[in-house]
Amino acid sequence: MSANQDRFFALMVDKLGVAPEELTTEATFESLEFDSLALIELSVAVQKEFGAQIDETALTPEDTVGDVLRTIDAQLVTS
Amino acid sequence: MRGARTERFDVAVTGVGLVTPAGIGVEANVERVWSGTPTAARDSELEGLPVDFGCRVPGFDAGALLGRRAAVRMDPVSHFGVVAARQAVQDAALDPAAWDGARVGVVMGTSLGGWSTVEREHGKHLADGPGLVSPLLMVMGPVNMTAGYIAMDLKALGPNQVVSTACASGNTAIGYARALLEAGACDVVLAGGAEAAMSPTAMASLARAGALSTRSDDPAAASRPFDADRDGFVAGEGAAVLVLERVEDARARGARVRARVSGFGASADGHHASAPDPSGGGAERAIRAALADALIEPGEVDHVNAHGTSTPLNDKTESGIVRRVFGERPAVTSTKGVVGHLLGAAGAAEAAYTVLAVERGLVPPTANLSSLDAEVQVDVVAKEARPVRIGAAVNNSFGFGGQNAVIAVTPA
Repeated sequence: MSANQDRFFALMVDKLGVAPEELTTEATFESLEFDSLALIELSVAVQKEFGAQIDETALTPEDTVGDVLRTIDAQLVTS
Repeated sequence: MRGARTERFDVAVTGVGLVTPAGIGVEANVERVWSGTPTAARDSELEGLPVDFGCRVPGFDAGALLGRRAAVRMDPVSHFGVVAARQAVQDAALDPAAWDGARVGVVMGTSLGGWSTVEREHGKHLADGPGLVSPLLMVMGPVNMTAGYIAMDLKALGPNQVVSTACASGNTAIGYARALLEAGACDVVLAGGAEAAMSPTAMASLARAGALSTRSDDPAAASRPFDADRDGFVAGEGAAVLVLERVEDARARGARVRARVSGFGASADGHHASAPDPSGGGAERAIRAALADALIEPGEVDHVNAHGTSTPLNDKTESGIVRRVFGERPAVTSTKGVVGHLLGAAGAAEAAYTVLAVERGLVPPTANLSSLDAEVQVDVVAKEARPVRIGAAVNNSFGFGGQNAVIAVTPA
């Protein structure tokens, strides 16, 4: 499991209002009913929490929670 | 006179929703307001400010009430507004799943809208740069959003608007809602006000303006309308919503009618940004306009829910106007002694309290009134609630900017 998963899941619950029971790495943002505003809010929250850049223009409803987590992991490792 | 009414137009108040410092729901509000128990307390979010106390809504969990996904996209002003609207609809025994939403309007008053979100995001912008500003600011900050969220939540799909006349906003909303019903544009209107502006910058400005009580050593005693020792208002937050319908429609569906809104009057002082016109001319014109609209003579009014902010100037000026228009007859109260000044929600909460006073035949007391200001020469209810058979009542609201709005309330 990613070392950042707990923190990322907590952010999804606290800042985006996702119910903890809905939260898995396989869940797509579409299944979580994220609209475009929520996806941008997610990228802002991730940047604030992790200092990691998520390209919100490349983020789509078909992406999964795990996709974003991997992007965070990769940036934190390289930095 | 052109436009003068010859026949009264009443709207029935069939539902009331209240989210105030006195509690969540009609019952909690009745218990606290009619017992005259103040709610002001020191506030951890205001620590270090010149005035560090106010009246918060107790035990309000937006996530639990609205769902966390919805709650994170709304400013607290909309949390309060939506919850109050839901309560009002439930109190009216209306079913949003069954109603013709296109015939249901929403008119909400607010002064500062999603101010606390604007303040927070502005802080982030200055500290961290534009890249960390939330995209949700634009669906949380603007004043119109409370009415918009009520429409989304309850599928109230008729005319939908927010009016903003500072501390008179709630009464203004009720006045316009009544006009929509009279014009036939709606069959039901959810009308009221919401405010959640007890954020540090707003509170600092109010304190700097000298509007707030500085009684930090005893916050519970700080809001004391008409008392000789009053020194300013105490800020509060919350929302109130009334369900309004034409009387015949309410009757036809067998609804319980709590009271009627029978008249509305509005005016501008055209005098000063924050101080009332010392002559009271604008406020008096609004009161007389509401009475004329309701075809009620001043001598028929048994109860006045005063604006009664607990500022030295308002209470002196307002009591002079009340005395001049109504004489000594009406039982006057200011419920701000209990809940503080809810700004854009004040008129709506006090309209709800006026409706409940008329329905219950019981005028709530003005909290903290122990020594009536000698210059206040009206009959202010103090200490405990007073039974009064109310044939007509008036709710006054006067705002910064000199905007005045008054409604007249009569029994069911």
